[in-house]
Amino acid sequence: MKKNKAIILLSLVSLIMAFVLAMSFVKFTSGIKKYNSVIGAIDTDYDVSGGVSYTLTLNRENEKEVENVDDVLNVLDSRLNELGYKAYSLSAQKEVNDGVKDYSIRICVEDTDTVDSDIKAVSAYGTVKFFGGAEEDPSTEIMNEKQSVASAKYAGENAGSYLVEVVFTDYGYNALVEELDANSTYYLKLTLGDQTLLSGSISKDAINNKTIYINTGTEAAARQTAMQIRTGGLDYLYDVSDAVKVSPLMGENAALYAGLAVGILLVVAIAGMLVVYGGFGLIGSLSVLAFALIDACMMVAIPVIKVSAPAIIGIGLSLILCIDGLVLTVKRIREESANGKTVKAAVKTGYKRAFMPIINSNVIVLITALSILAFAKGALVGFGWTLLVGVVISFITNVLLSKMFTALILPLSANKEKFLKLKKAGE
Amino acid sequence: MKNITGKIKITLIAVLVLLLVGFVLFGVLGFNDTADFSDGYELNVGVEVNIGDASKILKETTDAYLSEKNVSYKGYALEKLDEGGTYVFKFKKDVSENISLDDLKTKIETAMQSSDILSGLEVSVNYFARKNLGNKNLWLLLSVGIALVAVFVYTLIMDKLSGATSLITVSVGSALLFFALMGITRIPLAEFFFPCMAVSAMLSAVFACGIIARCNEAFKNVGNDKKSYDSIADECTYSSLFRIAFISIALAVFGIAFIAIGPAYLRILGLQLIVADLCAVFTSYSFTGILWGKCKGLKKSRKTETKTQNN
Repeated sequence: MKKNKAIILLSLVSLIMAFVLAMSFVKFTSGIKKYNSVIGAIDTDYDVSGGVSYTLTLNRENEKEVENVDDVLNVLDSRLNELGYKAYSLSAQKEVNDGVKDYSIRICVEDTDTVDSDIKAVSAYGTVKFFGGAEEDPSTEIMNEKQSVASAKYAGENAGSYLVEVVFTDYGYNALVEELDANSTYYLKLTLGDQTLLSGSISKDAINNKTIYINTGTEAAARQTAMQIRTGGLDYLYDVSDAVKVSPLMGENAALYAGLAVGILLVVAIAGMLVVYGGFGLIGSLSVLAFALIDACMMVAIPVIKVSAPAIIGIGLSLILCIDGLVLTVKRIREESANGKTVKAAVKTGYKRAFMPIINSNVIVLITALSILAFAKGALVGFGWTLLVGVVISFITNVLLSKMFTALILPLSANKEKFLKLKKAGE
Repeated sequence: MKNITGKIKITLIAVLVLLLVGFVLFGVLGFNDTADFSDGYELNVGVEVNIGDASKILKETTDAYLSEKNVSYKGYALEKLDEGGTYVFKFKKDVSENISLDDLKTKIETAMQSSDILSGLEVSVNYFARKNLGNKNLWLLLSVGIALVAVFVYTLIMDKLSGATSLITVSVGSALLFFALMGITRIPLAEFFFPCMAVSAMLSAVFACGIIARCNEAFKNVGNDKKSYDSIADECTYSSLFRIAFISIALAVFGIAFIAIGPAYLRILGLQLIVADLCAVFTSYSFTGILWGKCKGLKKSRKTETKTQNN
């Protein structure tokens, strides 16, 4: 590439990177609009940025004693997971006083817009019951001999309504059809404890493949309804306290310190590469910086990513992987130069020789990330996501971006061998 | 550092001793769970409005009281609850018989009298038995196990049996060594244990990839003499030393940064990352090349035997 062209392109790329770097840290207000920085827009979870706490206290009207509070914790855990909460703290505590038998349950979660209704939904009491009849508010229980619902899930949005798909079992479907055949007008009501989940008229046409759809007003309500129909209610009646703000599980300002640690790693890696590799250090530094900026943008752009403590490990590991690829490439280029090749040939062959080891290490980490996403639960899903996104960006950085920076920077140097600290054999 | 195959016996004995001691310690003492991830007890000492030196007085007075009663806690956290603040002191065993909540409350209220703004604040002192939800990290163990099988198949296709065997062996070895060192050092586990174990396995695999690639390249350029495998392994491993050291130092800096600036749990993460780093470096550097060489040698001697039998 010609020197003038390289200067123009490098200036352009540097401007873009400088702009993104500035936008990563700068917040500003323009008129009534507020612009958050990229770092500030990264969604963090309860364990690093705090959230809200609810206390569930056993209601005195409970007919039975809690046999094993661990069972209650496990049910709440699976329900919170279903509603999309990942990093939360669930514990049971009781005062160590004579006469205090019951555990109260403490749930600490991320503060979302729907957290109040979500916690009420997961801790709802009772069993799912179907009522049917010709009257608008039916009171005759139906489909109560065996399990009547095979599955219930959130089925997406349709014309402004958020749908819950309910699939009946053979028993449930046959029982409902029998009722519908016996009545020209039929009303169906579905309740959980005191809560009505579904109420309205139903005809045989509404049932398709043993499936009906319930309309709800919001996505959160649809997910809650689906979860409640599928899992029912708790066996015990709990009173839910108001939300109280709590500090992060990992410690005060954990998100800030974790970000600083990643920043320190970045700075030390860049300094190390500049000192050890000279001109290649500059290429490597720009590549690593580009990786960090793209990774930060992806953390914001991909809505499913929530940065928790395990997710920070994923970010760190993918940054390490990126640095490793660059170090591997530089090593190969130096070896080629030591074997007598010209700078241009050494760079070309070095990239070629480094390609397969980089592919192998990235594929290995990619396989692990996919496996974690498939099987891990809770906050560990964040680890899988940041690792997956990071390894993809690391691969692009090692194979494409570093080559681009090499092509832009090399033409600027008069003495390329000195600039890149390359030695011939015997030197 | 260059004669790795020559020192393999000592290295192997050292690793086996560490594994044995680590696993025995785990078996006898169990996991060193932090108080937030295991059942236990907690003393909550709080104030309705956290202003001025209120939280400092809460902590210092409680520390002094517990010290007087010879009671030590596993950890503590300051929970900011709306306007107020509560120090939560965590214990593995029940200490209710050693402390008096009323005495402690009185001491705190007396200490608060020192300031006009604090003297009227309501102080609460409670003691709870606490059950925590069981560890979900076992799912991560399952997913990493499945990943190892997939990685073995992948490297079998890319690097043949010698490469695949050495890569998987060092990855698993690194993870087991991490497990053992955590048992020996008694670093608290928290929720990072299995992710850091996965980091150790992945990092050793990444290092091993580079060494195996070099070995395969070098193998193409030399004859099939058995002695060459050991010297190939030594040379290729030694030539990867700088890269391994550079990356290892980078990860160590990451861990040290957490230890230097982070709150309690992030310091634990930093320690675990450093242990994971050491395990990955040690196993990949010590064993990748020699395992590759042994597998190649075994394959060659089987080929020679088959040829002899056919003749």
